[in-house]
Amino acid sequence: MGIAAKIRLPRSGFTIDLELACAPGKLLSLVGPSGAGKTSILRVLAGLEKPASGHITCGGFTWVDTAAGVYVPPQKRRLGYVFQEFTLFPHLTIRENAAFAAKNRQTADELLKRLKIWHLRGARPDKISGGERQRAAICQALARIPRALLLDEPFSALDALTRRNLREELKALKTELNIPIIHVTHDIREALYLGDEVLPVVQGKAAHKWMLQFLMRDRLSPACRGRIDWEHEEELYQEETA
Amino acid sequence: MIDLVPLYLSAKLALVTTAILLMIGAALAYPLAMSRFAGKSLCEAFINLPLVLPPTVLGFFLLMLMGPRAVLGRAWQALFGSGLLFTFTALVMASIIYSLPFVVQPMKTAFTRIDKRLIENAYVLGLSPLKTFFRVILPNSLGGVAAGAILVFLHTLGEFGVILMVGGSMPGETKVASIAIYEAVEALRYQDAWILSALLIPTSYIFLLVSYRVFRSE
Repeated sequence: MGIAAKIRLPRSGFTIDLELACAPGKLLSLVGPSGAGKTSILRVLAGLEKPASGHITCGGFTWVDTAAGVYVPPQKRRLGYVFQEFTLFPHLTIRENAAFAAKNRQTADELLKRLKIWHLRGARPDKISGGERQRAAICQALARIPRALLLDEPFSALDALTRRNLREELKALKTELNIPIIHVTHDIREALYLGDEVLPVVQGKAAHKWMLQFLMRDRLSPACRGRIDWEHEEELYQEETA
Repeated sequence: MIDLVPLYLSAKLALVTTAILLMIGAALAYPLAMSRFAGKSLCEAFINLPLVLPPTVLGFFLLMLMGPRAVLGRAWQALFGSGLLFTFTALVMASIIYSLPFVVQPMKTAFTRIDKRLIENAYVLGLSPLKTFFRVILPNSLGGVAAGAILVFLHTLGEFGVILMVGGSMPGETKVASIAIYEAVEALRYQDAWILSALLIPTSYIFLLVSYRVFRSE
């Protein structure tokens, strides 16, 4: 059983109103421009924010059901969350960070080896590179044997080469883990590369035409592009995101 | 032969006050740093009151509160069968109130600097707020905690007005170094005053030096 959610959450300027589902072993990419409410959606899934209304279930457990007054705090959800910025604990070594919430130390050690940072196990987070820190953050999140994995723009602060390598690692991990993975990005190429399913989000709502429009602008041949009524497309986009 | 018991009492008072204030300070500084609540400014102003009040004023209020006919004095008498005023316990209580801002402020500053995402990460990783405090917040605020402890220790070592009011000068009980120095000067025993003062200077200086180092590293 995967993760399924229907969330309604007012933000300043718009209201997040979204339905999503992701099966085990699959990766759902939420893609959209900055300020679209993607991170807020992940925060609601993690229990760091409470939705105004809606329900969230994961692996057969109900985490949120506002109608029935059910709310499971983040501590009890057992999920992995890799934040956009580096959130490793600075007073701990990489090995201690990975084992911070691990079921057992061996699991954390295996993950460090699997993600090729075992040689950095004795280092503090401020002594290693951004890519290595994100690998360590993934180890920390997975060592808990989570029911689901949430990734909030995990590669956005990394250089192109490191980003590409980590994407490959994640793609390989996805099939091994067999848990639902929800990934947030503003990079459509990344979403298309990683995602088994892609959910475009604009101003807190699903906006498929926005995605289509972007792809068309980006990928159509110049000859084709000239024939499209972009103004009409723009109107459609405005209607959809209104 | 000079009596060194006042020095021992001063050190004991400073240590006990510091140990208790570290716990009280953390409990007060944490909500002040992390939460918004009605009356927060009122609380902060009340905690910082000893910074601006003359020690004799604070001592006078405590004297009135701890006296045999006052609320606290009577409650103490009923509970333990003895008076509170002019005891070492009264000195500890007075020192805790007098030095409270010196531990709350550095701790609050240190807690405020903690990246909130570290706390959220700890929650997502399954830690309760209490465990998060001990496993994430406290280890990353050690500079502020150490600075607060040193300041409280030094401040208590140098107390005079409040202590004189609630402790008087009971030899072996409440006659701490600052009181002993004052009495020695009053009795024209300058040699005793010199020795006690000279012994206090290096202790205070070393602790202050450590405190500056901690502040600078913070």
